[in-house]
Amino acid sequence: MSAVEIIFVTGLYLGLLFLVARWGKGAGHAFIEKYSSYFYGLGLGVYATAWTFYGSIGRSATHGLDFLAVYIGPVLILPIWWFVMKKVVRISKVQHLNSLSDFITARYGKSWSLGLVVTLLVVMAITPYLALQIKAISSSANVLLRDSNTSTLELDFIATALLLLFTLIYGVRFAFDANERSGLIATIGLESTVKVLAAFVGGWILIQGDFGGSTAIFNRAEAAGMTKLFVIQNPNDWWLMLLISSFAFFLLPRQFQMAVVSNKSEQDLRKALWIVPLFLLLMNIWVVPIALAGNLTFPDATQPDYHFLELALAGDHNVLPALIFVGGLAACTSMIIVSSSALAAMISSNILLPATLKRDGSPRFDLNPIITKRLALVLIFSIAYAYYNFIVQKESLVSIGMISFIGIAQLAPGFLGALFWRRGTSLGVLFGLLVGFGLWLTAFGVPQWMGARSNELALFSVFSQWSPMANITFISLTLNSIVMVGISLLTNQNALERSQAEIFYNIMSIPRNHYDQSPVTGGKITFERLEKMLLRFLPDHMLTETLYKRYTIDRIKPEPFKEAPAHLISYAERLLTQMMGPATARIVLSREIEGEAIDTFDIEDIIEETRATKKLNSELQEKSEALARLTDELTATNEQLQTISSIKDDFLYSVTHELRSPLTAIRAQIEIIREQGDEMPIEVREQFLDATIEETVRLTHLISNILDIEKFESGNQQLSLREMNLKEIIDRVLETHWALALNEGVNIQFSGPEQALVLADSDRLQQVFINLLSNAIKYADNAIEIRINECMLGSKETWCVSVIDNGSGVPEADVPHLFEKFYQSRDQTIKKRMGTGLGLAISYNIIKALGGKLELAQNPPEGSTNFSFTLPKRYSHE
Amino acid sequence: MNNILIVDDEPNIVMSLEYLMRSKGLDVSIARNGSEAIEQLEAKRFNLVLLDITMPDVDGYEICQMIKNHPQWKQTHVVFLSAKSKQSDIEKGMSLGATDYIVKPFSTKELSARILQIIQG
Repeated sequence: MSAVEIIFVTGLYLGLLFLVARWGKGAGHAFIEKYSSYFYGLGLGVYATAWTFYGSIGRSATHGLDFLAVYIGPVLILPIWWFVMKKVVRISKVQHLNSLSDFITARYGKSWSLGLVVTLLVVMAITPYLALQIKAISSSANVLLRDSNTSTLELDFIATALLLLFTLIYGVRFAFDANERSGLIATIGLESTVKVLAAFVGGWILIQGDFGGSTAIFNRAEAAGMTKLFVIQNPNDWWLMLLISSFAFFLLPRQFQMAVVSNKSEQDLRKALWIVPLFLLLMNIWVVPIALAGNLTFPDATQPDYHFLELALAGDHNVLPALIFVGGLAACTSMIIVSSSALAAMISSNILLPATLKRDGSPRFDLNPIITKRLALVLIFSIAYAYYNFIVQKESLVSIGMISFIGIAQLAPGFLGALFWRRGTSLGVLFGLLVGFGLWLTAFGVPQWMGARSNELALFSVFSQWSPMANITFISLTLNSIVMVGISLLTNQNALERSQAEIFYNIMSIPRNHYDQSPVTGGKITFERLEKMLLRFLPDHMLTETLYKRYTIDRIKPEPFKEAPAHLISYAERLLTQMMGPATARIVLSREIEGEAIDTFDIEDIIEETRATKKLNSELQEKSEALARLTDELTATNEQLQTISSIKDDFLYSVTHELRSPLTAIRAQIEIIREQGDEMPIEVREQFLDATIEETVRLTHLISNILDIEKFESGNQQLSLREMNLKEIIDRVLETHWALALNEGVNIQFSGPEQALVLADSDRLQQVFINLLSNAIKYADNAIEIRINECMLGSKETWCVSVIDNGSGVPEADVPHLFEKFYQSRDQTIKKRMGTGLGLAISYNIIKALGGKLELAQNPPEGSTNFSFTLPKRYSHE
Repeated sequence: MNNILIVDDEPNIVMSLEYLMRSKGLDVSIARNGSEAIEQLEAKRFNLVLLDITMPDVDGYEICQMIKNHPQWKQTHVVFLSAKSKQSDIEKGMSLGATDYIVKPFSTKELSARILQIIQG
């Protein structure tokens, strides 16, 4: 590729970044909000830099699988990362913290000196790393350029300048402006997508297309004696790499920026649990095959880092080299953009802004935080560019990355202590950090800055089985932790540290509203001074969007010379923190308020209160469950009542319906007789009158039957029980029905003992028997048989009375309804009933009340009906 | 044509209705249940059917439906005469195409007046 083409591609890509950032800020904002969890996962992909894109291949080409630890570490730690980061995100949102140094200083008493040390450490650890990215841009461009006539290309400078411009525009306001944040998130989302696509697709085309697949490459490499590249070469150092890369995933400023500051919702963390591993897998899947293919193709290569590009150039490809170059560019630029803006925030808050203040907090000169951030960006880019120019030529991409990681790992004791150890003090962390930082600087920094090689570290090799790097890591982290714990235990926390420690430690159990409502800060300030103070540091529009909105929400009337309420002061402090970090914000605030800033946030009370609320809630829960149960019962009862009532309604409706029939006949007949008068023949009139009497009798029967059934069904029946002989009752009924039966041509036979004692109500028993007998007479062909036998009802000895007629039997369809009230047979071949439709229902109830059972015998002989009832036996001696 | 069919399963009511209608000069046929009613309808064309609803075999609603769906019978007026007095029963009867619905017990004067009006109107 020619220089012009390279510049064109680079310019095109960087131009795209500007466009995407602009889109994300404006039109794309809603889209990014909607898919925030995916953008969040891609944002975490900022972990993969040129070190991954190019460096892993270089490392693999010389050291086999060692490079993998840097990616396995974060994947293994992810579940813990999720658990820890939920806390960190919550704390940072609540306290408006926007960088790693904000986070650490906020916890340790908003100590300015601690912030300064953290910032210096981070700047020293990360700047070489930034330089490394610039180097990667320039080196990769030079690899591409080799074929053309141009010998060198100032791409490094052009690219750096463009990236500085980009961050000056889009990397400054994200801390306090959600739209700006979306612009940055969109850009990093694009960059991650580009680099992972380039790594995966580019690798796939090369390996599958040019080399016939991974297996073929491995076979060739084996034949060429490269088997030592198939394994981990320094297994003793693996723990170190895993540990350091895990820490880096938490603590790298760019990770903090994307994981915490750019987080839109705590829910988004969950999706990262699969996006991150997938992303790292796709980034690294072709690393080993490419490294081997590179070694096979270019046995004398001096820069194995660029095997990927070289192979693409060596093959017959038009677009592939450009694709890979852009992928590498994305890896570099994403790191530069995010890291530089994160560093700028720290430098601004901890170095530049404090420098504008006098010792007592009064302004030395006025610089607003946006300007100081821009200054810091220029500063960072300058240092990085200078470093790149003077020193960076010596080291491969990986070793600088590793050194940077070890430096950042020095923040781990203070960071983890902030979350999980309440006793840590700012002095403890400060001295621990100084020790670790000092050791790191001595071991790597000084030789590095002095131009020495990093493996001149024999000085620190305490454990001979480990590499010098592992030794220095272990020693520095151990001493750092020991000093931090030791000094923390020897020193006391001030009030602010104590309350912050409790908040950080307990953040998940503190209800959020406590931060908005509880006074964190004591002291007094008028509304006028408060607004003036904020105006000095906040952009005007932000003041309207925050403070004035707050007035409305809290219904505060800001009278200039009245004192602002305490919770408003703490809100103002959080707004300042957002702009300048917690330490500087506290310095500024302390000067403005009268009296001391005393933190009155009593965590014990709040936690106690929360606990009490929870208990109350669980009691309420129980109560409401009990109430729900009661409601269910009531509903069930109500339904039951409704069923009962609807049965009652149906019954009443049937009763009125049944009463209407005889009444209709009676009324019609009487009206006709009256109207016709003498015109009516005498015999017709008599027929009518007879019918009237018949209907009146039917009506009377009906009424008494209805009363009966009502009594039995409501349980109000009055039975006068006495001992009696069943045979006598039957005889008595037979006497009165004999003639009727003869009249109908029916013969009645009886069989059974002379004495069958039962306890019963004789009238009711007669009623039942009359009912059964008259039914039988009605339906019998010509014979009825009445029997009394002994039988068992369950375990009870009973008398069983059967009334059997030789009629056509009960139609099958009627059997289930026989004992229902007002049931009419649908069979029209049977004789017309003149009964009330209640007889069997009443009989059934009477026998039941007497302790027996009335039923239609199943499977009687063909053409007969057998109703039988049982009654408990009574013995004469009872 | 003054043919009228009385369908009811209560003998004493049938007796009264028969006498009443005859005294108004109508030609009266009798059915004591649903199936008898269908037989009668098939045998003869009627002006009006006085129809009980609650009957043991085929109920009055079904017969009404049959009449109204039959190409030759549908001109026949149906007047329900039933002890079913619920508004929903009456609405159901009218919706099936009945001309009138008279609740038992009824006034003989009113009944004959309505029947005559329907037949002559």
